[in-house]
Amino acid sequence: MAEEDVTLIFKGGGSIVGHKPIFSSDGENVYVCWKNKILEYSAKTSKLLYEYEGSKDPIIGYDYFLYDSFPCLAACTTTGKVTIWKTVTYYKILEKQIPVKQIKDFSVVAWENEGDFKGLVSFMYKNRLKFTLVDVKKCVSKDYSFSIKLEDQTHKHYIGISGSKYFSVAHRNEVYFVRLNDRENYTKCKIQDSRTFTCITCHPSEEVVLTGDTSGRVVVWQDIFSTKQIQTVFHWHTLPVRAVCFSTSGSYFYSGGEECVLVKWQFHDSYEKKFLPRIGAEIEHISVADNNTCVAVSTRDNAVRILDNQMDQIGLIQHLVLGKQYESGLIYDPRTKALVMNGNQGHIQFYSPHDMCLLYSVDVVGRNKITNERDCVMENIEVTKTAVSRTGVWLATVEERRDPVYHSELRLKFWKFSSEQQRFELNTSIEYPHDKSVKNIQFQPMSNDDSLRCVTLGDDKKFRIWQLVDFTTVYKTGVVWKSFGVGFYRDLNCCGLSFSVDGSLMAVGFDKITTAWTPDLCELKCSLVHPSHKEKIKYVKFGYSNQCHLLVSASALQLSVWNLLTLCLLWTVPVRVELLVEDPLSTYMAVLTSNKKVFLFSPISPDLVYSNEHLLKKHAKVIAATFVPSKYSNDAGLKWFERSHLHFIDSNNELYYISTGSSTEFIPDLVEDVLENEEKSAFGKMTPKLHLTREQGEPKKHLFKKDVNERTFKKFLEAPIHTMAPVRFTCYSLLKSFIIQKDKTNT
Amino acid sequence: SRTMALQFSKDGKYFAFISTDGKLKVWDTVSNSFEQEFTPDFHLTSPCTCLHFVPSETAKKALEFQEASPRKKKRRESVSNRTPNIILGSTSGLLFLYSISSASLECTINSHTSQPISCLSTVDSESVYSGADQDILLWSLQKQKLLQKWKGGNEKITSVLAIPDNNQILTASKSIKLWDVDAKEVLQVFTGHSSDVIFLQYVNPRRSEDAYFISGSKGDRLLSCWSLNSNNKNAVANFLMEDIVQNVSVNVAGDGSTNLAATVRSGVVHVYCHTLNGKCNKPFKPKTTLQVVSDTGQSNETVTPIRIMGVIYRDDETLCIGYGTEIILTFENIEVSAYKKVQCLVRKDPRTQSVSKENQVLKTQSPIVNDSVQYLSLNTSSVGTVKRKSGGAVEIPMEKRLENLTLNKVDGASAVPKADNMAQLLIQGLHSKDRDILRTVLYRKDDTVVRNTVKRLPVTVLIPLIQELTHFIHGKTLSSQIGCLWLKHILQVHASMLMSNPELQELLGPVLGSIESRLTLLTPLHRLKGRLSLLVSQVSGSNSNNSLQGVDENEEPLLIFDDKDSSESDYEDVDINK
Repeated sequence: MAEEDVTLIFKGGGSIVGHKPIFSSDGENVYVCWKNKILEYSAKTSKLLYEYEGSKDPIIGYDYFLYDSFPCLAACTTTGKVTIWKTVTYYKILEKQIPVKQIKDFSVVAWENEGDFKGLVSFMYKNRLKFTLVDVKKCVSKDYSFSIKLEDQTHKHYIGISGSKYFSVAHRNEVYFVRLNDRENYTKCKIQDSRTFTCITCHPSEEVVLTGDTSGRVVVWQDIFSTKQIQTVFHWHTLPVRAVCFSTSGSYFYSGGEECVLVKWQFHDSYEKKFLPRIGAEIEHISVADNNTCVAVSTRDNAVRILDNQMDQIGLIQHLVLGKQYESGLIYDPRTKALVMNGNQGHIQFYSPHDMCLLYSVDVVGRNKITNERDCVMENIEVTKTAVSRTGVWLATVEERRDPVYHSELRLKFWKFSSEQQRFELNTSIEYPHDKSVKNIQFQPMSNDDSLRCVTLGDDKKFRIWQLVDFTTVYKTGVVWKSFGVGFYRDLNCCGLSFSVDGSLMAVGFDKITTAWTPDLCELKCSLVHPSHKEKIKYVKFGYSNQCHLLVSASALQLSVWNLLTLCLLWTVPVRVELLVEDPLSTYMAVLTSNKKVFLFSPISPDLVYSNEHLLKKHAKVIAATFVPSKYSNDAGLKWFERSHLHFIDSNNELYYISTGSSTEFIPDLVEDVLENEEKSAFGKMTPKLHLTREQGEPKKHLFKKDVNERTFKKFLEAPIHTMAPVRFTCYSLLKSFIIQKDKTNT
Repeated sequence: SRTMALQFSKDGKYFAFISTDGKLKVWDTVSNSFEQEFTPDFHLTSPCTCLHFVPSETAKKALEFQEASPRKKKRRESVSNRTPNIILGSTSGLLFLYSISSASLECTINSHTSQPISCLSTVDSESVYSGADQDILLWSLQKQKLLQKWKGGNEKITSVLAIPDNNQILTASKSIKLWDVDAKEVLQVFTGHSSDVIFLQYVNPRRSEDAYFISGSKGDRLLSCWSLNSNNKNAVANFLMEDIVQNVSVNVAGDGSTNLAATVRSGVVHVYCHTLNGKCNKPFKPKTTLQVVSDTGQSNETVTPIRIMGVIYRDDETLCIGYGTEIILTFENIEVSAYKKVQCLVRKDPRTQSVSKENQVLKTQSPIVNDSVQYLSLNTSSVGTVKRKSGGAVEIPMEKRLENLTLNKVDGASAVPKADNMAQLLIQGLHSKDRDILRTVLYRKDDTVVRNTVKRLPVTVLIPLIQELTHFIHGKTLSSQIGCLWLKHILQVHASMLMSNPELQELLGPVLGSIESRLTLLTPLHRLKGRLSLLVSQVSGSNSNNSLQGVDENEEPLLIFDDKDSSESDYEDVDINK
């Protein structure tokens, strides 16, 4: 199998809440737009039923409607390709290219004449947003005379459409009402400058429009085609309203925003309202089924929550939870064979890449989410680091509340997976394990959980070893995690942590110095530094199996490998390391560079096992990566990418792994990178892609050299021969002075 | 037979089961959640007897690429894994197709025979074979009708198995028949079971020319393995079990050895490892037996067994087991250790566990946070040195016991309790580990009483006392102060005793760690104190100035003299106050 076959395979992620979810007419199914596909889910079971895939381009608008008296689904891509599927048979029945460029929005106009298929399309034309009614079958479009000037992209526009009668557009603090069959006239209304519209929706049958704005008001517009519209204000939200939605008959409506509360309003009485508080994340869209039985609420954590008409949650459509950050990285959990990573605020998610499903989230912090206030951003506690022990029994989490003004919080929690109850159980919670935040955390890789150790690396220039100890008080017995030792080195910042494969040794990077310690005694074993390496060390990693004596240390500019038996530098390579990941099943390690190259090497030699410069070129920045053993991990005859898969998550919140197979994933349009331009320049051509130097003659650099030794040697050379003592007397002291002196002052 | 009424889906993600009351229950084994319960409206009149997973229509194309390991075939992952469907056979001769993704019946196929369908099997999920009384039925799922029907013999067919890649099926009653489907003729008859065969499974170790199948019957406590290719009519291998078979999972490892995991009626799992190659006369015993029990904690001797309902291989070493009752099942991945003959797992009885329905919908798991959590800060979290675990329970040597005894006696003899010491009470408290006694003693802050008490303490109680004091020092202000006071006196009085103790470091380590971390604040505290005193002195200075002037202001001035200097100084004072 050629190495060229190696590609990226999509494993989850990507937003499903960019567009409003749409119900089928019977309320049984819900359609969700995901990149270039429309996914059909069952509203009852929240399980995937079908994927409608049109083209490679992302979908900009889609709708469910009756076409030739059959329920159909229409989708329009950014390039103007419109596809219609019959939802009963899943057959594609129409595919047309509409003659409009720079399309911004697309919605289907439900025309009375069912054979017709018309869509309302908005598009950019010379800095102005224009609207046109497209007859998709005939490929003819008729423009509306009115247009909106969009100076900058900071203000979005919102479009609402009501059947085949009229549509309305909100932009900044202005709202426009246009009749669909009247291309010339429109009415317009302005609200105060301080408020900006954030959403709009139209009544399904009457001339009533709802808008939401940044001040949290929901305004009902009536009599919209007169010069003086009637406004009614429904004000409960304090934060911007993100979504409003009428019920089918229009007698009540829902609104939601950044408070994570869904509000159900009675249209004729602004005092009668019902709330559904503490929805997991900020509300983005709301959609009501035609028979009012279900409500779909899209939330910012990439979930579509299905509620029944009592506002009880009955279903959840969610794959990879998109959190705000993935600081804790990707961690492989051997027990569930899932990836552990940040999820919702204060939660960690267990995502199974094998079957691309979210297993569950675990609420680590155990606190309600505090939403922002109008003029104040509220800081919540975030999980910043996680670690899983080799057996999967212990889970360590670090949570932090980074308050820029007031006192911040930092907590280290040790969870034990209770095999009896099949749930995690909090064992120890430690306040302020370090003075400042925790940078890294790892368990000692032991297959036996008694007297397990865990190491945390802090911003306070120290690392701390935690140990599982028995504790017996007068009242009870159990196990508890306690601090066993603190290590520091010359008041230098520490970064990078790794355990040797048997757990007997650990390596910590201190600034540019790589140090090795025994975790059992918290003693410094050796410190290694190359005088020409000035960069701070970012990663240290021990080799595996027969290369367990090798220690790889990587800084922003260099990757070097040390031999711990001889304490000398084996080889060093200048490479801009962004991520260094080790494969637990082989001796290989993968390097992802800052200019998006992938290298795979074995610490024993600088020869590359695999390299690819184009694989990630078109991708967003890789945030975290890890190797996950595949189903066939025991078959040693397989290639590296078949035995364990290098999974990574990029800044677009998409999860991929590197392997062979047909690349079915969608690659966004290439965004030109500065780095690429640099490489195409004349100077760029002069620099090789990878510098490899084999520095074997560079061993045994002292940490410090006492000039005393030099002096004795000089004395020996300069003294006249006849005055010298016999060689057998001077020999010992002279040779001794040549021996490397270990730095003992810092142990 | 119940063996046809439970099955894992091919990828192991779902487990489906027809309960005795005729309901279909579906569990998600990966996230360990009870997904669906389907009660057919016919479950009382014509209950379902057997079920079989079939991939859903749209997933079929991707399936063929997924099966083979990368060695055999270029593997292709499908875009997304789809939920499978389930076919159900009922006693009235109806075949149902149930979709897990929409939680409803997709279609019903009527055989118009009203014979009870006893077993189902399919390979390509297109043609489904089933046994009904003495007949063999062939259904087409796509055309939604019964295609063919022929008589399979004089006995009731209890099990059927479709063989991949060729048009052959196996049907079983007491003996097992290999059929050519196109010609409808019996190719071979395998005999060996003494009662009705209720379980058949196909095994393919690596190459397609070696094909085997496994069978189990409702009366024999063994599994038989037969070769499909050789003309051997007898079983190639037999596997012993403690009860009759319920469900079997087969995993062919990379080296060609076959791992078998069999659940039996009594609720344990037997794991066998064998390389299928030629005939073996001796029946195999299980390499490992898995068992789940619940420890109710009520008695020391007995534990209640929890029944394992099903098992499937996740990979070469990992098994997923589902245990519990028909109503509540828990699924768990476990590593099989080959060296233990019996692997017994202690689990909480699923019946006593509560699962919040809301959490299941939200896909969140709330971890257990109960009273046993240790809340520590840096003050309280340090331990001295490495605590090497001693092998067993430490026996107190006789010498020490005698020591305790004599000391007590001596104290008892001179027992004239004095008001200025509380040694006797303290010793009592430490011996009986009584929290109240200890408190009454230790909360005395009187310096002389403490000193006198410490002086009179026997050496043996020092260590438990220091351990108790460690907790005090870890605590908040008052208890920490008290702890320090006591410790100070102990160190002053018994320094020599403590120095000779080899475990001193371990003993004082926690205290030292706590003191150290408390001292880190000393420097900033001093600094703050210095600054504050500077500030206070300044403020009080200006205040006294003010008060001096205040006296002047309160009194009616005798003379108002417009002087520029004084107005200026007034102005300044106000400024300072701001």
